[in-house]
Amino acid sequence: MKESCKDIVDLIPLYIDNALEDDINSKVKEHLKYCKDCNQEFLFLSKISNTLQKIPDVSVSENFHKNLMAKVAEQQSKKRTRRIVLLRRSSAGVAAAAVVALSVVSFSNLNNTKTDIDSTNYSVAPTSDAISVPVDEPVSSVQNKESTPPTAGTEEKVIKDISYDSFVDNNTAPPSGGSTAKDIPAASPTLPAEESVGDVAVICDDLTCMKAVITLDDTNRDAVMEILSQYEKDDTGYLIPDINNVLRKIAEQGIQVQTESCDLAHNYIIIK
Amino acid sequence: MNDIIKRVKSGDIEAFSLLVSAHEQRAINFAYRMLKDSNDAEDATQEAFLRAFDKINTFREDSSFTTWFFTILNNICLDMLRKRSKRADTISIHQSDPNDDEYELQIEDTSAGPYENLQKKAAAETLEEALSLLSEEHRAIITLRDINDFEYDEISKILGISLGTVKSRLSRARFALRKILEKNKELFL
Repeated sequence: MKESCKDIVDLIPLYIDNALEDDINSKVKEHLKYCKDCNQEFLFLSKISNTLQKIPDVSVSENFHKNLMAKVAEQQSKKRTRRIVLLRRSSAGVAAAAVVALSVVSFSNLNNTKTDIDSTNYSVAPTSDAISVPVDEPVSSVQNKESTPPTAGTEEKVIKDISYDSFVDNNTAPPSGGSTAKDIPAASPTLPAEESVGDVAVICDDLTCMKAVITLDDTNRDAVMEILSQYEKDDTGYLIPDINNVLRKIAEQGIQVQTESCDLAHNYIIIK
Repeated sequence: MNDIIKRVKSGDIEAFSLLVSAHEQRAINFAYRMLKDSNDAEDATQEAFLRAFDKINTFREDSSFTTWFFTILNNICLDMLRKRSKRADTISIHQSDPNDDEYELQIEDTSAGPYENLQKKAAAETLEEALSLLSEEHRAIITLRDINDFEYDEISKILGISLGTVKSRLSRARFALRKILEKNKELFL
């Protein structure tokens, strides 16, 4: 093979894809017309590519699609436990939350240290503790799971964790005698379905130990609600597939978002 | 396609099922050529779809879902190959550096045994086996281009390499494959 042939042969892999510059493409084309060796090389490489293009599809298991979609559905149901709950101002709501909190305290010792909510993207300020309940099952079933009453020590911890005054304004009266479990009225554990805006929105990532708190007021309520209204809502809150995306949108509105670690909230959503 | 992506972003599983249907065969074709094992290919493809569904909100709608998805799939295949490479029971040609001048010589040195057996097989079957003897880098680019019919710019995005590198790597990969098939030339002429 002549030296010039080597140069031409080097170009053949791209020539068969018509991927050379026009002038170079013309040179190769001309060369192949009179050079038998190079033309043989061109035919060989072309045939390999053509055969690859016609190679039969790999067979796929009969249930591949069905099994995959079942896993997708399972994954989505996990995603849907990442929600936003609007905290409500009424003291009855606080009391109901306290009851729920007491009922789930033994579930609150998960130890997930992964952090999905990115605290670096938002202004971070400490807030107080809060109460959490799982949201991927009805609250009533959560209560049923808790067959053993909480211990005295646990009760103290839960009451301390309620910290309702950190989420409601100072004019809201605390629940009557809200210092022990037995003082809290046995309110319905079902969360209210009203669409009214509460005082604080808390976003809790069920897969992490982070939560974000947004204090709602007249200056930011409409903007936050507009963002949230794009998402599906059920009686426990808005279903947010991508919490970071929501937080980013809220932060872009100039609304302060506080993030913090949840000491109780792993796999739970904060309500009040 | 954008409407489907929007529906998937809002949590519509049916819409995602449409995306899966549109991509699963090509995905498994690619994964199988990379991993040379049907079960692993399906596992990798499934994992790629689950990851795509999980991260769909990070996908920019002005880009191509297909190239985004194949980037995920390629990374998963490479991860699986890395884990597998700890085992010494796979037959492969080890290419330490595709730019190494001795690369072709290495292929010739190892060609005596297995390549003899390719002669009696049909061209497609021979090609499948020859593909499996390529380095994973070359296997990926040949599969993307010749089997999955991706354009050069799409391959560039999937593999995260420049257009120039796509061209040079594809040229080397085709020559490497040609070299392996030298003794079976009559099947292709």
